[in-house]
Amino acid sequence: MNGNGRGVNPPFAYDMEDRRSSVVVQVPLDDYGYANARVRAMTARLLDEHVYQQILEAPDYHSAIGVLEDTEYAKEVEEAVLEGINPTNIDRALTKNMIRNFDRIKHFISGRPHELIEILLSRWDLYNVKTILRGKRALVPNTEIERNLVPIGFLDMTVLGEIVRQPDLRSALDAVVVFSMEWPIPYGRAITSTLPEFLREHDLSIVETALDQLHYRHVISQARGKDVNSALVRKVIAMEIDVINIMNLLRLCGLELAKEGALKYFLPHGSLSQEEYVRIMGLGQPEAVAGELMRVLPQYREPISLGMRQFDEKGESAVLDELEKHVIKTCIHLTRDPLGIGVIIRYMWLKYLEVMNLRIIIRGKSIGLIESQIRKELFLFDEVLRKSA
Amino acid sequence: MEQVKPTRSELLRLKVNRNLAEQGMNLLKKKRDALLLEFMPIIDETMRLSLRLERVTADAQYDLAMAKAKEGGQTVRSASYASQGEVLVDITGTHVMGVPIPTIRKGQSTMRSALKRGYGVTGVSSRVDSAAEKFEEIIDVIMESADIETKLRRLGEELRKTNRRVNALENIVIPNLDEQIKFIEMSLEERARENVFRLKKVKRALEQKAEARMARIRGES
Repeated sequence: MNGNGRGVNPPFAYDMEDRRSSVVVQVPLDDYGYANARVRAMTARLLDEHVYQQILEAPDYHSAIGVLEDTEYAKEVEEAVLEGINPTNIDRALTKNMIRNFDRIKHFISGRPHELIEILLSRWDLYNVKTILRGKRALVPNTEIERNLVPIGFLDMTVLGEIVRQPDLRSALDAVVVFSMEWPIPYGRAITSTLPEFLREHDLSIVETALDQLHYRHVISQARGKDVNSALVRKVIAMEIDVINIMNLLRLCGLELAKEGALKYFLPHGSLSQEEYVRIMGLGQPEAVAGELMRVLPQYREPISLGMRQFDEKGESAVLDELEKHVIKTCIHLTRDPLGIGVIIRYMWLKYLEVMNLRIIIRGKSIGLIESQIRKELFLFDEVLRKSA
Repeated sequence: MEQVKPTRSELLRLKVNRNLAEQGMNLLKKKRDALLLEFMPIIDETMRLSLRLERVTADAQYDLAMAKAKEGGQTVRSASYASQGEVLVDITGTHVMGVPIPTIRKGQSTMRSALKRGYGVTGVSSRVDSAAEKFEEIIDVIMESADIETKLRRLGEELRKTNRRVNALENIVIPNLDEQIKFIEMSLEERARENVFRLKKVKRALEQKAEARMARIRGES
């Protein structure tokens, strides 16, 4: 790892067969051709419908885990089983597998493509920093905090571990401020700007909200560029921002926040402007807010409308489910240009979808849900998985 | 039956005791009826609350499981580190038919808005919010249940104690006293009859003695 927390990537990859025969074939890693070929191979290793069917039809939770032990997830699941067969350990195993696969992509790509991949994965850095600060505040043991980190972004476990080992929250905040001077996203600035208020109010959500805003401001600026790939990454991040803004409007509209209060929870660089956000927040009722959102953001009309149909039964989570399905579907179908980042984005979201669906099945089995109940909760099972199978 | 002195004073004492026992029994029966009147609606309320608690808990568990499944267990755990708060409870007391009963009331509602849970809303999904909300509702119902169940337990204990006392008075103490009173009355009657018989004998002896003296006087004259 270099000083700024990023892993060093070789500018070339070596084909194993060639290496054995002493013929070194250098593959340039700063374009998408090689990476996409590898990623397509990884995409082919995603679970097919047959495996899902087996897991879904497994009579119980243990049998479902047994099916996973014969798949791509075998290594991580076997490790997890040694720690104890429970959904939490299996969750961790699935996440570990996702980390391993995303990490592989990062290692066979360099230059701007590598940067764009890190930008896409940087939301996990934000998550990791927040998890450490929350853990420190709640006096959670360091090992427990480390178990809940997801080191896929530009911050690896060496840097994160150093912050975790700080004796208290204040030292951890100071460590983030100092270390982040060399990070692509200077999270320390958000901490510095909100520290006086945090020390006065003792409310970590003040720091968290500032971190969120700084994060999205920076990732959008880092994804600047006139090329198609940067534009695709910006589109994906803008969708993330839109989902957060839409959900915040639905969650907070009933709280009668003043303009300044509402803007605290607004993330810029999405499809909504500040003025629209404040105006829609002022509508007060989720139904009115949803109606206005469908008018202002026609690209989200369908998921919002589908979610609002289940609003009475499931609340805002129904809208979130539909919006996430929409984002995943959009990312999967962005582009299949063999020389663009679309193939990698597609793989990353397919993998994310796979891990999420496996978690739903495992959790569902663990609480005794029957197959039809689990199927109802699965994400895009029929639309995406069957089609790709 | 315990040994009793078959005396009139003992009889009077036992009769006073019996009256007292009967009075006490009637009072306890009235207390039992009053406790039952308080107890029955509480049973209904407890049943209603326990069913609600069961339903809310099942909903909360489901939401938590789905939040963990869709967000990832680590994400939910991370949000739980941020969540903070306290549950304020007012405990006062009241009396029902002389039974001291603690009254448990929520200091303030445990239901909080998304902004008061300790985490930044922009970084935590509404699924976590939904699960948190359901668990807050569980605390609310648990506090209601704690109040009503404590009342139920205290009244139940008192009812059982009162019933035991009524049964003891009705089936043991009063029948014992009745038996003792009957025994003393019979003893006293027996003694009275003996006395009458003895007096009659004395009277006859005196009469015979008087007749004999009269006969001797008549003989001498």
